[in-house]
Amino acid sequence: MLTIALPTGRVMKEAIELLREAGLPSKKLSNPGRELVIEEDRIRYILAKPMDVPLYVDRGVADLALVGSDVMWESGARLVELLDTGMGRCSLQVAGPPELGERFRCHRSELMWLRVASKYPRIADDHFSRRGVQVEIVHLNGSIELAPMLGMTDCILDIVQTGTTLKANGLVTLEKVASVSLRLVASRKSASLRWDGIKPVLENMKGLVGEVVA
Amino acid sequence: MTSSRSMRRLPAGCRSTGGRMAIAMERCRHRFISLFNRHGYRLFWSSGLQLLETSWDLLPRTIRESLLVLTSPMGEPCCLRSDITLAAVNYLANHYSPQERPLRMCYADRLYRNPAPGGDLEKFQIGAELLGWEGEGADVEILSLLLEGLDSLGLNDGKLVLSDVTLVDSAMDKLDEGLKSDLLKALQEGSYRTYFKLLSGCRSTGNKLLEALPELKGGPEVLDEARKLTGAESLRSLDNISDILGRMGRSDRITFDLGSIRELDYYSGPVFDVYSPESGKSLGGGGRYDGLLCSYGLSGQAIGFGLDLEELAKHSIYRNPEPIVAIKGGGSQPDLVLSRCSAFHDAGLTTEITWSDDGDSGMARAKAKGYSWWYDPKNDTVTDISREGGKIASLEVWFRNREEKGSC
Repeated sequence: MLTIALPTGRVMKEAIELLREAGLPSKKLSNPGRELVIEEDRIRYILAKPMDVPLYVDRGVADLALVGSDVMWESGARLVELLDTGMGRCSLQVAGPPELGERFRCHRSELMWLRVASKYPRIADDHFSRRGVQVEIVHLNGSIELAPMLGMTDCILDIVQTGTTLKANGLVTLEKVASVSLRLVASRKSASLRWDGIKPVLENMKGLVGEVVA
Repeated sequence: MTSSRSMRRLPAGCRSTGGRMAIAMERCRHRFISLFNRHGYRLFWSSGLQLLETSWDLLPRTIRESLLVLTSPMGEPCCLRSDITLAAVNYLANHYSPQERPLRMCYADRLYRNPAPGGDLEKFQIGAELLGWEGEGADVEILSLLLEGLDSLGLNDGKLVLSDVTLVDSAMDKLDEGLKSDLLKALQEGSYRTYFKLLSGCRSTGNKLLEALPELKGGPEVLDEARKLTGAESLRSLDNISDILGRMGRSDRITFDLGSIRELDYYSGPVFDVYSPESGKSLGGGGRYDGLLCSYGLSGQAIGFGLDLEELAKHSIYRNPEPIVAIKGGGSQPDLVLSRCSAFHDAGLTTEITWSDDGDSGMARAKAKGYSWWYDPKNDTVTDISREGGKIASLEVWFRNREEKGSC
């Protein structure tokens, strides 16, 4: 039996639709009720919080998963990334009040000791340290936009879909960090030992999303 | 004054191991080391500190970044041991003449690496190395002993996933260094998406092996597929391993993933990962590293592996050690009590003596510790204390019942 972990929340509906179009059973999955583990025709689905999905795969509980590239990066889990489904597209951005724009346009030394609020402390640290900039990262779990508005931090690093929330809170994009989309991933063990089961799922999804993959 | 909280605390990423886990790890270590000792592998204890100058150039960037660097009291730049293979090769190069090779070594020791957030700073690794043998057979010797070792720990479903870095090298032979390095990085990181994106951006490769590499996974038929795409020469080592292990009845324990390459840059031939069915993570792995020998001025082949001892123990038959028999020592002559213990030890059981005269409190303490049996030498009876009103039997009957049932 192939086990697939799926993120609950924003992208779950799209993920289920993708599975259905790829020919995977999705009848029970469409109406899961309170169930978190669903079995349909030799496929077991695990419904987990998006941030936990990489861990289920990394620990070998799930063979495959659909997971946002932001979450995958943040988790640091060593997964095999098979396919960019192109779904759930958004981007990771540094955003802040417009007057901060000047500092981002100048030499990067101007950014030293910037205070950055983020749900993604690992990505924030990675992004700024790669540029040789030391920043103070404030780890928040929600309503990140509040932090600069209330003077707690200078800016934020967060996912941005339409930019409406940023605009509503008087923030502008200062820097784009990375594009984000839903990825099909496998555990290292399953990619090596269960390729026969994984390959048809990958091939079907590849046909749907059209990316050149294995 | 030290608070009880600070006494309990360990540095982040460090762990002390006791109780059942420590017993399981020690039993696994003992079984593994004994097996390799019987095959001429000498035990090797490497220094906990290594000079930075001896390992810096030989370790890949990812490991260099995770070294725990310090200065010794003598002012020498050092790091805590992050890799035992380097230490083993260094030892061979400095202590043995060419006539004494091949040299076989096995070890069980801690490794230290700066981990990702939430990861382990120190790990217990168990492994073996066969250094300086230039004929065929060394690869198969190490792999078959590794499988035998896994079997002896009850990991009969453990699998070896084999690949060969020379095959990957030959597939990338004509590429420019920048692209080759990016493709290797993508394979090491497991990003097939990046790998194929890089290939599609490079129009002129026309290299079928390169395009097929990440998909060449499965049984020995994968080698046939790869043979169609490349010369037989680059598959010679894997063919050899597959044939011999097949003849030894081990085909079901090996599988191939020709796009799999290990993190350490010093591998230069067949490489492998070890997986247990109960874990998504590799238990460890290894491979051929002839090039590393060269860098120490030595010629010949070398192959070795390292496994995570704690992960092995978690999945081994020893994860639930056998029940301990509590012995009532109080009120009897110590020499008699100790000789009675021997009878249990001969039957493969572990004992712990309670010297208190108060049998009831002794029994209660044994029960609280989770022990299953209480033996009273005075009346030569064994009581089942794992349940209320547990059975009492004479020692002779208890041993007989145990033999019939195959366990307690």
